[in-house]
Amino acid sequence: MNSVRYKRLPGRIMGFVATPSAWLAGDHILIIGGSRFNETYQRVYLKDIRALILRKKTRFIFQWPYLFLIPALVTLLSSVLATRQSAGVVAFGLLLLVIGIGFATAQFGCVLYLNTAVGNVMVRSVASRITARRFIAAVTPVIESAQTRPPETT
Amino acid sequence: MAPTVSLTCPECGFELSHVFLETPDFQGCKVCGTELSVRAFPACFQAPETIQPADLFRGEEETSCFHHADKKAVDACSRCGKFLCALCSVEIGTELLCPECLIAGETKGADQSLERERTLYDSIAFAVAVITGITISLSILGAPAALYLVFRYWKRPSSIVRRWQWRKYAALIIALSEVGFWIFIFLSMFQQGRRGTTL
Repeated sequence: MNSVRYKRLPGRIMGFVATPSAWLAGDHILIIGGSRFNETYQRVYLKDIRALILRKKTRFIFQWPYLFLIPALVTLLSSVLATRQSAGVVAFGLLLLVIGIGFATAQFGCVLYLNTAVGNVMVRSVASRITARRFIAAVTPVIESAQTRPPETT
Repeated sequence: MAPTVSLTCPECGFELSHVFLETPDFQGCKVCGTELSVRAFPACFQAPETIQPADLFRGEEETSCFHHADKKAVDACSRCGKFLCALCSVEIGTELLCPECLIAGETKGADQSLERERTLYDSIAFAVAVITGITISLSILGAPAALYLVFRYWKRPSSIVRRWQWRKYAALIIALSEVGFWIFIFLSMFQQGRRGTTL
């Protein structure tokens, strides 16, 4: 069995069921979908990618670490900073802060597509424009070099 | 340079204008108004491949494709050696395969570059061991189940991108600890029962 070395590309979603990710190999981008217990693979070859299309879209994806982060923040700050009377206010303020951050991240949401002759392949692991910019910066030189390289002669 | 192929809006499927290729800034699709930013690559500006008269089989000094007798063979399959035309040869990594070898490799799972799906038995075993371990009482069933999954699928590869299969070893340790815990409980109960009868 041949073994391909993969390098993780920016963008990772730690959902409860699905954990999509994208990986870069020498000649292709591997898009992993499916669930925690069953992965599906989609390969897009670098020389086939015609364009990267970024679409603005409000997206908020709840990830499982948030479950621990919110109560941990509330407990920590209320125990350190607040007295018994103001603990509720601090908790409410934190909740509002978390909701605010949620809305802000949703506003910067996007969907990234790899455009090939066959169609647009969605990169599910990229959900924000900041991550998308990092993803594009990581793959652009590799795609350009794959497409400008002269064909191998035997 | 104007692209030779058309890019379509992922939302409405309508063809995007050349304006999108001139700047990486977000612009609205003319039809649906979806804001898009496009980064085009050289493949977007290359002319699509068409069958040239030179691709046709002319007989005598040339070899024809195994599947298309009227077409000139340009390559041979890396696995079975069949002569193939440009249409029949599929490039997979460094190899050129014929459709038969491609299907055979995909169905047998012999080639990692053709795999489309994998079941992660190490993750299943780990989840079974941990989740049933948290409930304690369910671990009496969960631990043997996790051990079965670990040993049954010991040689089965995990994720295509993961090198280190820590979940398999963690599941094994957790499940063995749970089994040890239950053996200890049963032995304690048995010894207490014996002590009760001797008194």
